[in-house]
Amino acid sequence: MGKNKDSKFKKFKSIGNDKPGTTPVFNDLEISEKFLRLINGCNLLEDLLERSLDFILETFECTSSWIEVIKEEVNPYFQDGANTRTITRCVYRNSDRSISQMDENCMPSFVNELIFNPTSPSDPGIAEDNHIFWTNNAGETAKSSGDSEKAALKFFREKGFETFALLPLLSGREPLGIMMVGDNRLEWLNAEKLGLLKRIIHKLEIGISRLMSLESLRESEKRYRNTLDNMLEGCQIIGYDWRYLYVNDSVAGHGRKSKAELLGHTMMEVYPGIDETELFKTLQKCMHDRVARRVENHFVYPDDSDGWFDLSIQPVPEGLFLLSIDITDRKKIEKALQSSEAKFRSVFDNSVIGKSLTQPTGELEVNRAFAQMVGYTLEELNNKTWSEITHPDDLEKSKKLTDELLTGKTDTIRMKKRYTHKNGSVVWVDVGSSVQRDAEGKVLFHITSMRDISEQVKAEEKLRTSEQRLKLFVEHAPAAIAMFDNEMNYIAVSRRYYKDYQLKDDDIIGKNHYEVFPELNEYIRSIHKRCLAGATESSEEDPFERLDGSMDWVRWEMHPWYENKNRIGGVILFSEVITERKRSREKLNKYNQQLEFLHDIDTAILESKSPQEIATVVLKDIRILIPESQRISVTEIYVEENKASLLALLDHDKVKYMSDSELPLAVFGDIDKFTNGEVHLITDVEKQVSDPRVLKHLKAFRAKSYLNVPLVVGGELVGSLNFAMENPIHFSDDTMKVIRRIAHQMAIALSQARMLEKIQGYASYLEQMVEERTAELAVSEMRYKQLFEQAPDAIGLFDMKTGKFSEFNSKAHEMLGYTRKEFAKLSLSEIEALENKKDAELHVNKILRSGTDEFETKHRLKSGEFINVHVTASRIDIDGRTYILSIWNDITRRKRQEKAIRILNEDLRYRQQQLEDANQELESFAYSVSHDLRAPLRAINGFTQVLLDEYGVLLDEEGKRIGDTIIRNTKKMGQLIDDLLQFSRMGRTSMTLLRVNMQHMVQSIYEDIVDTDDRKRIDFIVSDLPEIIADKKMIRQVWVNLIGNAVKFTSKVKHPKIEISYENKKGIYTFRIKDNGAGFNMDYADKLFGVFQRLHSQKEFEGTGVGLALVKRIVNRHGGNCFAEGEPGKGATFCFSLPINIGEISVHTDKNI
Amino acid sequence: MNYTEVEIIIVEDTPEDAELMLMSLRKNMLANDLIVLEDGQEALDYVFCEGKYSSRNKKLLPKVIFLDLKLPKVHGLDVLKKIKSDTRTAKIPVVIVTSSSEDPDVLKAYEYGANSYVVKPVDFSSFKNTMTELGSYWLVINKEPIP
Repeated sequence: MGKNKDSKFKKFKSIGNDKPGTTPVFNDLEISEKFLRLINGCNLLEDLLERSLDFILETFECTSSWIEVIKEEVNPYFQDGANTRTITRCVYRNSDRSISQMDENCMPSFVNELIFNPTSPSDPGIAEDNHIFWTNNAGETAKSSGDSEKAALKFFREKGFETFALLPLLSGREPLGIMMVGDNRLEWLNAEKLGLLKRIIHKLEIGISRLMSLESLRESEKRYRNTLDNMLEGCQIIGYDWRYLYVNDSVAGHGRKSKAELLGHTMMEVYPGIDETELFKTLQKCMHDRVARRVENHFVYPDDSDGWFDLSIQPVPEGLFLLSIDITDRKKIEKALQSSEAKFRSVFDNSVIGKSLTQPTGELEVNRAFAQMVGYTLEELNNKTWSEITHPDDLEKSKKLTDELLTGKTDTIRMKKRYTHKNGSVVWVDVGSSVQRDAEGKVLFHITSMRDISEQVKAEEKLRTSEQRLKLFVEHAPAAIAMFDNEMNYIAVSRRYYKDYQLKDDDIIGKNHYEVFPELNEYIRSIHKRCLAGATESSEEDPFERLDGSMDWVRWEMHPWYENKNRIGGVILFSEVITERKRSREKLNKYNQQLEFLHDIDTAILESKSPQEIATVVLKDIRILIPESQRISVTEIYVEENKASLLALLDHDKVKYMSDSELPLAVFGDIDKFTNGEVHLITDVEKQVSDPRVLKHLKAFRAKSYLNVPLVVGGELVGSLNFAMENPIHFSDDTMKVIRRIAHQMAIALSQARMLEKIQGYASYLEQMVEERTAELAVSEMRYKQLFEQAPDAIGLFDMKTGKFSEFNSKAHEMLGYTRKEFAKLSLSEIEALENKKDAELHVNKILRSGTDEFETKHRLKSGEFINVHVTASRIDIDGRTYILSIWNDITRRKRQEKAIRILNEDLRYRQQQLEDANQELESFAYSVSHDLRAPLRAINGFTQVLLDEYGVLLDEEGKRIGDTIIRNTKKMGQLIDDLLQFSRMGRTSMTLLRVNMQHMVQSIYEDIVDTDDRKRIDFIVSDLPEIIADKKMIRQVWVNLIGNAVKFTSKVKHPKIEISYENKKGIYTFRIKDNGAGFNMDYADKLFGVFQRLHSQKEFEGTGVGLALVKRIVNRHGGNCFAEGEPGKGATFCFSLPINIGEISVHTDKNI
Repeated sequence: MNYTEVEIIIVEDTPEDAELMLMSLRKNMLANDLIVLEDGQEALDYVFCEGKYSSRNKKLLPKVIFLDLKLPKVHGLDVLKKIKSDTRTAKIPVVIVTSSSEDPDVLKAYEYGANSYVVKPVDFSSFKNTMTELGSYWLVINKEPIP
């Protein structure tokens, strides 16, 4: 509706205004009074509306009237417009007085809109009187109306009204409803009727408003009562006479009484003695003073159970209104909470364990114990955060764990962390933290316990260190060490142990010994048991059979270790696998045995005359050396005759002689190779041998394999040493060596024997040749004699039978100062001069027993003097007689030299001691000089200075000059003493040899001792200097003095130039410093390096004359030399040399101070 | 003398040296509370309140001791050793002031706990400077240990 509503309104109105009635028909006053009475007689809105309609029908004699009352009820709980409910009451009455409802529940909305249009801007407002819409001819009006008016006109016309008026009902400016008055007659309305209607409606509006508010009051009372009745809180109203006027169900419940028991009765009747209580006094005060109060009341039931109520007391017109809330549960929880809180507090505050409580907000509370732990007061800690007192290294870990706690990953954490004590030290703390959550899992706070474990950590640390150390010690010990607990589980093992027992590198710590070595037998286990009981056992050599059957030899020692004084914690095993050592010892033994045997064979062979004898001697003992062979034989071979015959056979341990047992040469394989010295080895007879003759022979020997070793001498094959084995065998290199050695000796012996036989065999021939032979022998004898005589040592052949020397060379008797004749008569005791006679006998016995001996002894000279002799002696048996061949070497000189050296050494040591003593003395002397000479000097200097300072005014110029001279001289003397001391020290202090970079040193000294101005003036050239080995401090002093000198002596030259260079010649560095300064006369060159020697006056150049002496001393100590060249006015060159390899020169202490 | 006020003890047997030291310190107003002891034994007696110093208040410690090494009766190094090995006196700063620049003495002095080692220069002006610096360092600059 509505854009051009205004115009339509006018039209609508104009129809009504066209024909207003002129003659008043109604008695206004009477009607108004009557209507007022009607209104006042109504108590209910419906009643009023119906009676008003009746009144209008009766008064206006119209067909119908209709009232609609709109009531907007705003729901107080939901204040947005959407929930506003509109309650419409619609009453319609026809003239036949029957009340009939319209088809619709209310007037159509367009009617409403027509009357109340609050939005139209041009609308002056619905309160205006002329906002009444009426028509006297609905059909006619509709023709000239807009759509909305048409709808309204149509609506009412259809109900049978030709004439109707629509009037708004207002309360103030608020709409109350609409009233319609209609008639089926045309032109029924007039101005008088409309005016009366308006006045009636005005009164009706007041009536409706009153009843509506009354109604809503009633409704709200009803609603409140309903609410009160159903409230969980107890509500009661108590009258002035303390009677219960109203109680709701909850009050009855709270009081455990029925409503009937309460209502109408006084409180004192219901609860005797209540007037004595505090509560009642409060109620009295509220009643009397009309004030509100709120109290908590503790209520004890007859059955002794109790309850708590929160009472709000409010004065109301009827008396007092009491709102009570049962807070028993809350109180109980509160109380429980309080008591648990109190408990918690006391634990928290008084705990010796550090505690903290952290709220989710980060708010933190700690107890005193924790504060003490970290050295802060509680107040100081209030200003700290966890991060600030946590040790920086533990911050990350700590945060991570705390985050886990806070994010709910875990509910408890436990860690060892460090805090930083106020004093900066580290506090180790065992921290346990847990989260407290409410029923919904929300974090309430987390509580943390902290225990100071610093001491524990320290102790652990210490223990760990010592344990670590012990472990390292054991691990790296050079022996095989294993430490077991008392159940023989490994605790610690050395690396050597792993190695020696071929254990895999994986960790055996913790494993059981018997698990690692299941092969350990009961015997060994019983040893372990004894040791675990306190015994210490050991063995030098114990076999230890491995699982794989191999045998090791072990040296071991096992003893218990103690956990404390009385308790054995386990055992420690020190062991050594000595298999290798044992083997090599055995090998050595065997080797010695072999040597001895070879020697025996040699001796025996030499003694033997026939080949058979030789063979027998060899075979007798050979099995000791070669036990592998069951049958060993010696064969003689005559290559030219193509013949071989067995000389002897060793069958197991028996030697059998063979005679005429020829055998085929084929047995020895290729005879040429054999003659060349190649052994003939058949490792498998069955496979390798086909010659039936050989097989036949071998069968006799039951040989499965055999070895023939040729006996060759001077290219001639004389025989063979044969080894037959029942098993295929292979000889070791060592064995082969022994065999060859024997073969070699045998070959010689056989060859000789064969020659002898030949000689015997050709006796006649021999006789013919005897003369020739004698001559030859004579020559040979001569040769032999000459050899004997010309030997560099004394040689003598001592006949054991006669006890005299039967043969000796001239050196022998000359050595002892006897003639040949005299010497021949001497007995051994006359020569031997050992203090203990038995020693000589022992030597002789040894020679006789073992064949040789070598020893030092003393011989007595004819003159009675003694000489030291080195004797090499061996036993010789000739023709059944025993001789001792001895060779003497005079070692007297050597002995004397040794002694001399010894004495010299002692002397040297003595001198060194003396030197050290002298040095010591010198040192204390230097100390005294330093101390005692300086003290008086200081006094002279000091007091002169004081004199000049304090009494200077009394002195004339000369007096002052003298004073200055004294001071100058004392200073100089002080310098002299210092220089001298340094000079002396340079000779005494020991040298520390280090690598010294001369280039660096020279540069830095130059910059140190020469000031910048001088450096700008001086042309200083240094060639690339080498690195040397020297005492750095001393060499530095050399350069300081030399460079200092050069600078000093060039100070008066216009363009000073200093050049430093070096040359390397024959392992000697020569350093050179050349200047163009004052120079010197070469005549005095030798004085330059002396102490206190100066070539210049003090006036020219200052100095003490010690500097160059010091240079010389240092250079000399380094094994070098100093020298200088110069010319007055032209400059000087100072040189010093140093051996490149200073390590080779002895660093000595200078004696010449 | 009122022992309570002693701040510097000088142990020096050469009267001239002692006088020169006094002069140097006096120039800088550092010599007010000072005592000169002439031998090692006297120094020990003073420090440990024995002999003629037995009535001295043991709790009063000087701010510094200037100790010569070559002393009659008891050698300076022994005096030093005794002072530094007694917990009551170990905290007293001891400065070795000696003529000797011999190395073993320096090493030994430090070994025994000397706080400083100074060689008396022959030249008086250097000597004066040395003493002034020592005096002002140990009396003014150095923070003494709280007893």
